[in-house]
Amino acid sequence: MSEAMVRCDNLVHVYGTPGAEVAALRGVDFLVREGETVALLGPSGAGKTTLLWHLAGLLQPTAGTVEVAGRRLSGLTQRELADARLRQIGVVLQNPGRNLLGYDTALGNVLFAQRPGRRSAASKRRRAMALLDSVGLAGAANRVAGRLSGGEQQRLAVAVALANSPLLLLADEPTSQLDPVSADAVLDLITQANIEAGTTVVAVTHDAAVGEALGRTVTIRDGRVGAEGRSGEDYVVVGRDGTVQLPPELLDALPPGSLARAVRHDNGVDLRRVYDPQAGPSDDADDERGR
Amino acid sequence: MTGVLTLVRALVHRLGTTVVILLVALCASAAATVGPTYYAAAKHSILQDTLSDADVIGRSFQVVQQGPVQNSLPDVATRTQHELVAAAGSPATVRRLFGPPVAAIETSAFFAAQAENPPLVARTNVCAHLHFAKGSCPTAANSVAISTSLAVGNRWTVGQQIHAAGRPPFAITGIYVPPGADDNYWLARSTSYFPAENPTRVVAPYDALFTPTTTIAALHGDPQGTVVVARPLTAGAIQPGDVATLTRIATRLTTSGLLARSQATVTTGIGNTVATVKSSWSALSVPVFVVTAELLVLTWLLLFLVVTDAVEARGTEIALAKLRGYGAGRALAFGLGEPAVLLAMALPAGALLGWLLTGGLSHVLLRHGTPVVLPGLGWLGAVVASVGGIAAIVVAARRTVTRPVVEQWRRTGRRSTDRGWAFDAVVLTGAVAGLVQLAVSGTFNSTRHSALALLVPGLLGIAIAVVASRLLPLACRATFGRTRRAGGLGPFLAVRHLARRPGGTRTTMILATAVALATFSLASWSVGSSNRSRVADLTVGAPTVFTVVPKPGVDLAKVVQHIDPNGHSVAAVENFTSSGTTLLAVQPQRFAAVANWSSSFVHDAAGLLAHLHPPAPDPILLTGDLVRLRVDVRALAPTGDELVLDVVAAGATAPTPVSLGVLHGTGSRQVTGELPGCSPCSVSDLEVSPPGGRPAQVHGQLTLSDLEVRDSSGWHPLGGAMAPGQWADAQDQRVTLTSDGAHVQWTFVAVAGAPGRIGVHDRPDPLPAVVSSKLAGSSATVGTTGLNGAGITVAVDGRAANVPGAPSTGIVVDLTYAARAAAGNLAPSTAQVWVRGPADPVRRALTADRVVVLDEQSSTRLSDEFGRQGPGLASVLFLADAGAAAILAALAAVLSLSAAARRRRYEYAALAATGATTRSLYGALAIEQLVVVGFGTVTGVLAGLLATLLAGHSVPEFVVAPAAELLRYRPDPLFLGLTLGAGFVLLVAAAAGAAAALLRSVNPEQLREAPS
Repeated sequence: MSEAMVRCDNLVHVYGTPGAEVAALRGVDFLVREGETVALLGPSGAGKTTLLWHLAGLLQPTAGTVEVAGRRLSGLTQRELADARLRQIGVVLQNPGRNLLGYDTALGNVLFAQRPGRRSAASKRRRAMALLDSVGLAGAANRVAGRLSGGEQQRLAVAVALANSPLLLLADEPTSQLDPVSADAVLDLITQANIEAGTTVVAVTHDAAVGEALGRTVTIRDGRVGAEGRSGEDYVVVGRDGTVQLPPELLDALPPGSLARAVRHDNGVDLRRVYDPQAGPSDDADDERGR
Repeated sequence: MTGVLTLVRALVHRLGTTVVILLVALCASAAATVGPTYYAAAKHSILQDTLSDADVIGRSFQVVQQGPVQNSLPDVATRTQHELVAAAGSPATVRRLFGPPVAAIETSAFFAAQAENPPLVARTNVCAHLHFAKGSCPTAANSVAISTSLAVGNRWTVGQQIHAAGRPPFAITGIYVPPGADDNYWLARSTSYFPAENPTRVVAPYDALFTPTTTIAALHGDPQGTVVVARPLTAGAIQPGDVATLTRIATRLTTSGLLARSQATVTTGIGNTVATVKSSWSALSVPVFVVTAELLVLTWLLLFLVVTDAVEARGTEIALAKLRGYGAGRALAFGLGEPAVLLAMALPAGALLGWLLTGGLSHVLLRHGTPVVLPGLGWLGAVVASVGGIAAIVVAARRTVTRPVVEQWRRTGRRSTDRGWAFDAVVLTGAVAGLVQLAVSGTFNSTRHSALALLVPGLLGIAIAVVASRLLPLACRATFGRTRRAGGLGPFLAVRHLARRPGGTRTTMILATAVALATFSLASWSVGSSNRSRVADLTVGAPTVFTVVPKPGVDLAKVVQHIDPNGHSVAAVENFTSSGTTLLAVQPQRFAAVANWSSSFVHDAAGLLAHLHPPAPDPILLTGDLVRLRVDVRALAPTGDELVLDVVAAGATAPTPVSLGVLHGTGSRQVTGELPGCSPCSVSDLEVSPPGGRPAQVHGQLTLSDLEVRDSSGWHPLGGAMAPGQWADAQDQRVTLTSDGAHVQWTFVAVAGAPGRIGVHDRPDPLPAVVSSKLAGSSATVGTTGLNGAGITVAVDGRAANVPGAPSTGIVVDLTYAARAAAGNLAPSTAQVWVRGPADPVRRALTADRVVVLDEQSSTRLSDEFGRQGPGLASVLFLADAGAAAILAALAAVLSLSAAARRRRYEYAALAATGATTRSLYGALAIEQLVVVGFGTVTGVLAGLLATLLAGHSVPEFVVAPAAELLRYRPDPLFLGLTLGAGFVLLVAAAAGAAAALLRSVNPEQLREAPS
């Protein structure tokens, strides 16, 4: 089995000041292995983006730990964090324009993101052009980024994020605000990076197509990992305190406020409703009382 | 290279911010450069002006040795050169600072036949400096050149031999035209060599005979005289850096033991000239320092705002850089690259701009040809200005660079208000502490010109601005309810933005400080300019004052009447300046019209002077060789008394007694006396003296009549001599005088031992006078010196706060009566002609009427001279300061709006999308800007005026402070109102332009972008 690229243990993050606190993450346990592609799903405000920023080393956890490539981020200095972002983590932000220097050229944007080193300017330029070519923007290398279309800007943003061949690519809503064709192109780029360079991908998305295209989905609800999907199947995730978030489509069977009986089986537990707050006690409940 | 391209693209992308930063940085660099550059140029100009304005003694030295003249010169010359080199450090420096030495050997030649004793002079290279009307310069021993006046007076001609007592015959080889006194070559000797062309009322003038040295060397009998070694300064070659050397030279020469041991004395005013230069520099240096420092602080404040805003605007880009893994250093370089590059560009460009501005200023204000170079201090100033900017960048950037990326995306600034209070508290505490310190040390309105006092406006401006800027949001908050109920969008938005926007208070503070400095600067310039003009007017006395010498027989009053029959533009004045008083004997009505009577001191000059010439009988003038008088003695005791007529000859300093004989017993007789060469004499008094000088008490009763004088054509009666009022008790004796027009009845009882005496009453006694208030005090009479040099007492008839020509020491009396009081002896006084209007025609008319013009003073010229001295030149810096402060204030207003524009574009786009009209949005912006600009301006003006009140007296205005009574410290309200009004319009226009630009950029499409 491959090594863990990302590991979150009981990650808690609280925004705000004392008296006005909002818990964005409430004990997230999350593991992504090297070369894996993961889509973070969930409703708005669930904590997806906060989780992504933690993975980028942009936030300090209120509690819990985050490890990327085997290094605990909370133990790193600002300099080490910056170095990690430079060498290991590429980030694509939600708004295409926010990933780029709008006044600079496409080529200039890629060069801006490249790490400083001993490579010659020509070598850096060749590498940047290759990246632009890979995202289909070789012809727009000298165009000003702010004047590219939304799709082009997002492809350029991916190229920028991949400028230093990161181990981990974090993408926040990479296909939002894009037309379907552009969204497919961006998605292809991300999966291509995973296939060709083995880049681990974690993408926050509302787009079902993205979820389907990536190897695994993780659904965040109310600051917790609520479900996970693998190979088209969705599974609930049992939290370390035993909590389970039912998928929304099952809530009609066990609406909020229901009383249920948990019954052990050989390979799990059955939940049987004994009280429906809308309809009253169920037959099962009567059965239970009859016994 | 890629980074450079990115940087250039960023600068172009943010053109507005780029231009504002560049402008502010340019202003900072230029402001820091102008002061030192102007100071360096002004120092040079002051030095050259002072040297050229100095009299010949002030720009040269001469070593004079009295005694035997043969063989003395080499010794004096050697000793002088030794002392010069010792003080200057090297012979080359001496050669650079001084012209070639001029040596002279001066003795005399007495021509008994003519009773003339002109100087006989051998002088280095004299032939090159004489212009010959006839003949040529003497080159052989015993040949001489004579002046035109000697040639005319003695009828000497070229080729003639002239014989001086004890000298060999001299052959005249040429007749020279006496040169002007302004030729440096003659130094201080021209008055000795050419007295005929520089007449005085005392000395009989004979011009010098010039001869080769060999003539004097061959004279017999060890001739006595003077050996002179003199050297003029080479003014054009002297640089400000030479002043210390010149001071050393002046001190060394005047205290030289080496020269003293050879009985040589040194005359030089170089030390005084240099002291004047230094004093002028010192007066200039204080304002230069203060103005430069204040402008620097102002630009630093503005730079801080600009850079903070610029870096804040780059927050998302810096966050992006940090997201891409830029470390602190790289992020800092990326974040600060733009302002740093702009500052680096602005440093040399601003220095160049400052240099160009100074060049323009210097061309207008400084001496023509003054070199304007950018001194090291100017470069240092530019660097300091830029370093200040970079320091502001670092402080401003720190928060942005260290702020977490996520916060930068969100653009939160929760603690900025608290930090703003802390900053304001520090500034306010510093300013108030400084003001308290100045107040305690008595610096407020002290006339000591210290840099500390000039810090008052800046400190006061900042202190008031800080407090006022914090009051504005509170005042706006108080109107929240009213604007909500009123319903208009414009006022509603305006007051809320003013109360809440972060940059508003800072902008108000900078605006108020800038306007305070501008107001103080304008007020100082106005006060200084009018004081210099007033002092020049009062010091000179009239627009033009000629010092003149009427040739013998010329009556100056008549000449003036001839030149100006209407009596409005020319006045004759006799001036006698003694210690503490200056007697101005004037023609009252002319003097009232011509002199510079400032309306702030005297409202009605003509009325004030009207009483100086009350009616009085004419004097009794005797022209001839004998005088006679009929005396009818009714009673006289003791008998044998001598009757004496005291007369004063023209030019005499005391009366001459003319004995009319001894009176024996009663009866009528005619007495006769011999006049002492009267042409004319004036009768002073008539005495009856005790016989033999015994201390007896004389008393008697006499009838006087038939006073007559004899000249070449016989006896002539003196009409009016026995008229009523012509004679008066001269000594407060017991005298009774009656007259029927032809006879005077004189009854008297004299004090024991004193003669019985009656005087001619030809003037009021004492003379009525208008006296300077400071001099007169509350006294009814004031003692002074009359035109003849004798002490007199005048009666204070009127007081003037300042008297033109002698502001605090002046005593104005009637010229006619003063001349009579001086018995016509005006030799000790100085004749002047005061002129209002064109001076050149008057000068030509005076010359035509045989009045020699020795000197010309002009109040305009003196005012210009004041203006070109250190304080005057510094006052221009105050104007430049005001201009720069106004520009910076306008930049602050524009900057404030452009910062607001970026923040509000989204908000305004949202309002526009919801139906708010452009007009109402513009109204909101207009009200907001008008309040900010108006509040800042009003606060600044009030602070500036208060600073003027507190520190206005401390602004240097003169190198040598004039009497305090001459100075006024109220700025011209019209000038102040107009310039400040123009500045306000400029500010409003700048703000309106920026507001219009902001609204043009508002578009609902911007709502598609994330709010920033």
